[in-house]
Amino acid sequence: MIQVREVSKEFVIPHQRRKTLFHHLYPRGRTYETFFALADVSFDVAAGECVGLMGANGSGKSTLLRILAGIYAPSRGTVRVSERVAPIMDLGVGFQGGLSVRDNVFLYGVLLGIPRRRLAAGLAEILGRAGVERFADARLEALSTGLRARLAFTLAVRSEAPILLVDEALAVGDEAFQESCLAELERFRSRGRTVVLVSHATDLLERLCHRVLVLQAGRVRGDGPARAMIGLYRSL
Amino acid sequence: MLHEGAVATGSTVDGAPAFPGRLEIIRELAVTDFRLKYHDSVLGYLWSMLSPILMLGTFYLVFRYIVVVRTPGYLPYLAVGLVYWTFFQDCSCSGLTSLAAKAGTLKALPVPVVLVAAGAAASTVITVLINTAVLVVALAVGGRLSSLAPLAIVPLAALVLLAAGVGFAVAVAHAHFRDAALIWTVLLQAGFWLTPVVYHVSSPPLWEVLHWNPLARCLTLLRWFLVYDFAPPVRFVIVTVASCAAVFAFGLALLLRHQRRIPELL
Repeated sequence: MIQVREVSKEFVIPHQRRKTLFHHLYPRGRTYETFFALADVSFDVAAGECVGLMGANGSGKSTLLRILAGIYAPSRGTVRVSERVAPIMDLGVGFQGGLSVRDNVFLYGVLLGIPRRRLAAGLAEILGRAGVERFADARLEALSTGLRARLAFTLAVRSEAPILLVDEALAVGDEAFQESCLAELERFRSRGRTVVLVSHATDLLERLCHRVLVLQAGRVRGDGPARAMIGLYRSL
Repeated sequence: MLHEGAVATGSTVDGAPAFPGRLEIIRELAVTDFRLKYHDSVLGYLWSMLSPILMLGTFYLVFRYIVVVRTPGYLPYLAVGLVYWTFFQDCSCSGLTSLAAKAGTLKALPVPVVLVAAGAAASTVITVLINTAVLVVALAVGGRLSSLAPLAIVPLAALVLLAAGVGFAVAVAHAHFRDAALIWTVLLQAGFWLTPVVYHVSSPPLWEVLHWNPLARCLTLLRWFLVYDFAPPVRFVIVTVASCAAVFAFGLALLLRHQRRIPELL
């Protein structure tokens, strides 16, 4: 379902700001360094598996998730993803605060690949699940950050993509929201769909994941059962 | 879905939205941009007409009574020029800023970059279609609407291709260089005076030179079809459409070539 082979991702970090045409035409005296966010990463994820990614900040988890989602291209190596993915990253990015909640359901849903007619048919249910049915015609900017995240999560899960890529999404929102997200992810997993989950929450990884990969400085340090990998992560 | 890096070759993205899904994304982004542009403004959509109307009044006063041009039917000539120049300017500028404006979306969702740029172009097409309807009504009321007016759809479609292609190209430039916006503003100023938008050229050598520009060819065809009731040689129409399509193909190819790297540049 997901096959990652010797994937590296290199970012060029200029020491000076280099965003103008002049700087590109006359780069003399300007220095930069290359930074490998990922280095020779290889692993597989089978259909129906729930795999956790953990590692310290800057270890390459989010970059890896973005590559799996097709947002970033790997600098080297190959990534094969056999089915459609629904990424849950930066929940709510893509919403337009000036439009109504209802309009945002259509905008965000369509960007996630959900057909408009399916959104129209399930509008009441989406608003209900996100707990925002009272605010359907209010401007989205009137909603709290937590409510926006709930709406975004509800839509991402509804996209029915066979693969869900989740990046720290459950860190936002209250306890009830986190619990409902967890229940949703468990339902998702029990239906045989695939989940790749980035989290620092060890209890969450233990509860949901069949396997956990530990990343350190862009390299895979361990790949195995959640409990053992949590122990490895703590020992690094 | 296969994402391949520098070592591997080729790349296919099976998981990207299918064709109807792509059209839905373009439509949704276009309508959203259009609504957000005029949202919370007192005059709403009328603002988009105010700019060409103000320019029309100013240029008409200057060129009719100060510079004293003797172009027959100068007011409709000027109106057509300004409506479609304004569209070209809006479409290219929307394209230019489209990717930076949606940087968050492009970094968080696997939305193809080309669809975001196409959505921005499509939102300005909504504007030009409404402005065209207003222009046609005004020409009809003033008794200046040509019987060939339905044929104006051909140069209008060519102009849309041209403006979208330029918009795609400048969007790529802006993702790489932030001063592309300033450079493009200067180029637009020069383009305005190098294109017969507010003046008329009839002497053959200069006319020929100015009509190397596909935008000038579109404006001329739009004027012939909408106002002057003149059926041009087929070759002129074919060359105009082909040159606009070539610019569109160039802009699209450039965007497709760079689109995998653009989210990380923003």
